[in-house]
Amino acid sequence: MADATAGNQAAGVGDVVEVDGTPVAVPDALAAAPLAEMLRQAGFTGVKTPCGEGGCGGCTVLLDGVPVTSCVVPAARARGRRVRTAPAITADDGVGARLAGELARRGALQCGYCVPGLVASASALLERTGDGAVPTADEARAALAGHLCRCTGYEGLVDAVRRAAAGTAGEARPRTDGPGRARGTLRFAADHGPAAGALTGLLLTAQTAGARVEVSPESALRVPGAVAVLGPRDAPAALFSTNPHVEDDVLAPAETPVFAARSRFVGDVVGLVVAETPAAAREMAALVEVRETPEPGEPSLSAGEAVFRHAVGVEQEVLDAAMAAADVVVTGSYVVEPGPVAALERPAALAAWSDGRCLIHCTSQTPQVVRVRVARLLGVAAEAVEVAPVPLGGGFGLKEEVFLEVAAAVAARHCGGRPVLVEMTRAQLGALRRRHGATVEVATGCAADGTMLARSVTIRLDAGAEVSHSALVLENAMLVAAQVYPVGATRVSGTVTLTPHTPSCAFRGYGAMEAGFALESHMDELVRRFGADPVQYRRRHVLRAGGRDRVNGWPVVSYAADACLDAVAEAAAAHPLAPDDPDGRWRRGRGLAWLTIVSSASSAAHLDEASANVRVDPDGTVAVETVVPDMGQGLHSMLAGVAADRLGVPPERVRVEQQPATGGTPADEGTFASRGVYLTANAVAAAADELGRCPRPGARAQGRAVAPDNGLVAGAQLVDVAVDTWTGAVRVERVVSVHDVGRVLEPALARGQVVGGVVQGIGVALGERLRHVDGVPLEVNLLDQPIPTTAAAPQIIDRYVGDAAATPGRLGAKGLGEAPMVGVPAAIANAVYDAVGVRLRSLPLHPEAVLAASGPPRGAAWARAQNEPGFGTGEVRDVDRQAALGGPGLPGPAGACGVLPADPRAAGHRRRPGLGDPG
Amino acid sequence: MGTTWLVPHDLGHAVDLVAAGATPVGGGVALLSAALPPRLADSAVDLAPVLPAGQLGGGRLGAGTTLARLAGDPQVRRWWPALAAAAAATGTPQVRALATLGGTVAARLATADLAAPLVAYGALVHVRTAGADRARELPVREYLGAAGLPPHIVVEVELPVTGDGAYRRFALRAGPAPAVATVAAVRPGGGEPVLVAGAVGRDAAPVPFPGPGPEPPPAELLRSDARGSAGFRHALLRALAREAITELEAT
Repeated sequence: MADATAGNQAAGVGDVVEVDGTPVAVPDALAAAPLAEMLRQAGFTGVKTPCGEGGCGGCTVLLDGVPVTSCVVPAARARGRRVRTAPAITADDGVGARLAGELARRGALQCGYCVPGLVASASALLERTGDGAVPTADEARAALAGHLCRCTGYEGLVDAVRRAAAGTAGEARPRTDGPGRARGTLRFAADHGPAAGALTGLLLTAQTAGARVEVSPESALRVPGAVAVLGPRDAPAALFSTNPHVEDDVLAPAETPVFAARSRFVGDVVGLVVAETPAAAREMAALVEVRETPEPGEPSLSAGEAVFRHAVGVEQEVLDAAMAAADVVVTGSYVVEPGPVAALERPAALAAWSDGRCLIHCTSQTPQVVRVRVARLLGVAAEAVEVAPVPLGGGFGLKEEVFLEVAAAVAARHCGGRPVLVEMTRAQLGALRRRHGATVEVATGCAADGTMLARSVTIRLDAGAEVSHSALVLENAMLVAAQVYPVGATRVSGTVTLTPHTPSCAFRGYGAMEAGFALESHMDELVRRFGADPVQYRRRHVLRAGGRDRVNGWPVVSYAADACLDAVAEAAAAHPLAPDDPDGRWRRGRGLAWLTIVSSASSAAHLDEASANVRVDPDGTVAVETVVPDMGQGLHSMLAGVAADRLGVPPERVRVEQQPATGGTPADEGTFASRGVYLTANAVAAAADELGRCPRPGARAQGRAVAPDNGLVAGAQLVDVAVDTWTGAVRVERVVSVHDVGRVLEPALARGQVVGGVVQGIGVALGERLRHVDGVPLEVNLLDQPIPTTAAAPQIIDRYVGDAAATPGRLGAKGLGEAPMVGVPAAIANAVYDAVGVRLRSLPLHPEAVLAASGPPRGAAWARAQNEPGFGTGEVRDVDRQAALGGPGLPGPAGACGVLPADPRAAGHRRRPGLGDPG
Repeated sequence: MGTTWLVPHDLGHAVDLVAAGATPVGGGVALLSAALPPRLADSAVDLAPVLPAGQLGGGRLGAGTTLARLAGDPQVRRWWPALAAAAAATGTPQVRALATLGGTVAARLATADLAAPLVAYGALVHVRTAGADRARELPVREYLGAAGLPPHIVVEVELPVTGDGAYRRFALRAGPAPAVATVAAVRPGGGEPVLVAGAVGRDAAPVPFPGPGPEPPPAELLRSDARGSAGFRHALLRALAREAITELEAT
């Protein structure tokens, strides 16, 4: 590789490592640095560093043929040895090429940020098993256990590896971006840094909240390789909103400084050091003097300041009257703790200035918005800023904001235009962004037969130290709560509260999961309260096409509720719940959750729209032009498929060209809100339709799509779990995931979305969280998060229903990006109740909470042991149940219920009949 | 600038460099991980060229033995099966290829899988300090619980007894993850079971069970942290102990 040895100093033979066949010197200055860092600095950007902790496997390379996590190998250890990275591993004609070919298919990889590392482990596995031998799925999963993937749920990756071993080609077509992502040759935002000769920008972050901040650069600037130190005085004074969608004093106020002069939370960005190398930047950050002076007189956020309130539905008096008239009122309080988003690619921005123009490579889901917002903050014309087209290594909402771009642009301008790459560390990210925490109170007034007559939902969102997305997330959560069960008298209200903690960002579902966890847990309580069938009870009450949107006022034209319920009931009957294990230790249960979510950002106040171009080149090939990045979901492949289908040309003759975000490229806000199908793909269809079938070379058309509604999707998820009554561990064994998406455009991509979303939902449900103790964020590292590994392998059954003819848009299709995760946590909680009779109203369902709530261990083995001398009583007397819910010093939120007995077993816990339960 | 990488010409030289303030680097995993303590000092000593690896005879294992080798070594699996199982459960496959026995012991991480079986087998840690002609032996539990140790290098680990063994762990997810509680159950020389709890103590030192049965040490001796309370760990230990004893009885 041409630039692989750039920057290497002269070295003896003993200082050289052979990287992908190229001798690369390991200079003494980098000898103790992580091998991954040295490789990337040398231009081998196929090596990714998602965590830098040795935990995720994204940086895996072959060191003398053995897979190692190169982020925790001192570079010197590679001297005199041979390193192979994914681009070289996949360049041969054998195993590596087959691996890349299979991983590149639709339904295998998604964002691909983990894949170059995984390729190293997979190739070693296939070398071990030998030519033609196919590892079992368990063997493949064990070999890949050291690789975290946030997108795929692993199924597609494991299948691809096994196909590669067998030499059997998959049926699905390759993704348009598949080969580059599989081989590690596709360049993500930060990958452009080494080739550009970028300086390293390292964020300085606050250690305390509510302090006046001053940054003194002198000591740091003495570090060899130091270039600059920037603090609050070196950035524009103007504040900005990180929310890309609106600029509004209430919904999304300008509140974020580039570098904070007063720290708002531990981890707030207060400055930046810039150096020639990452090592020098780290040394500068260790030496720079950041004075934080507490300002006790300042208003404190610690008490929780409600900055946004909203209510929809009937007036309070009407609700009160309806509740009073009900025979039974059931109440419940449900809590979702904040957690990580944990996209594997860390947020990054690379900025450079030339001739008064700024070029930015950044990890943004909304590049056109970033361009305009950055230009305004820097005081230049929008045309002076260009956001380069790059793929994303996962997003899930984390990158749906204006984030590091301003800091990078300010730093680059400060450094005379030189490129500056700002990439936050994983721990910095943990302190800077989390998904929302929510408390949701639900009260339902019912007739004696269970018919719902009145409903009150109150949602309180913990925004952290910035409003950012929170008001819109609240509105979306409220929309879901108001819509999904159109009870006669419904009132939904909510508040957004500021706290001096990590700001909350967008996350898959945008409030739908948080609201859904409360609503569907509550529905399960109603089902059991009235002895109803879970499917039929929902069928009695759920929204249907033909109804009216209670928030936006428009008619609901596409919402296949009955088809979803039919499908989930059918699947439940076909796949009965397995019995408890014979010993009785593991108890099994089944839970159902309904889900609903939007597939566009349209509302009564604003109709979402997108545009794209389709061009036919002289050679007859077709190019789809979009500014929207593919964050892994396969958007570009789907756009290519749409164009090929509409134009009647072979798919292999269609490619997608992601355009830079400029004033002259298509106006499309980006990738979020599951809008890729409903908006961008419909825009491509419009452009293709204008060209007609088999268009002539040179033809070009622009397509535009406007979403007439929010493309509400329906779905149902049925989960079977096994609960370990000895430890509180919950194992998800089967998930039926039913989705109304109108027409399924790409079945393999759809399956991938479902499996990935389900597995992500399992992580959200069972363990991921990000708490604060005395204002300090606790679980900031990836190693702290129990993100599911390859060992999580539930059976996942996907079903798709819907009426394409009734679905707005040329394609008759709705989004599937977020939905597969949304219902999983509630369904798991309901299944846990079904298994052990414990209603846990707080996410995550930490095993400690499950164990503490579920009482003494069960099972014949435990009972046998109890009677043996020396084996104790068998009772879990020592569990401090208060502490168990949150741990000492960690007062965890606990949901509560006002009507059902605290211990449901006291009321005679019964498995629900139906849902395929045997007996 | 940054950390200076030092390559010693022999073990004595390495000890001298450590005594002068350099960080000894075995596998390097914990030292380079951004999520784990400790950190590299201004200089680091590469122990790879000077540390023994593999079986050294007499129940002695070289500190440079990787966890992958420890997990797969037929003799380790035969004579100290709980230790082999704990090695196989540590970290990810890629980490096990790097991390060493000595480095893992010396890092003294509270979540270390190796600690409980090492205590159960009565391991002695052989350390070299500056000015000493030979290694000093410390019982592993004493070593892991000691504060203020002088600069030293772990050179080998001695396992004076062999015996059937079983190892169980609990973590917050299936697959590689830091342990919340571990139990090693071994039967030294075929005698009464010895049970030791790992990842639960107030420091890196494992906590022995009070008797041969699954009744765990009192919760007062156990740690509460972000992954679980002392009470939770107490309950886990009882469950893990029952599993380990069952496996031990089946061997």
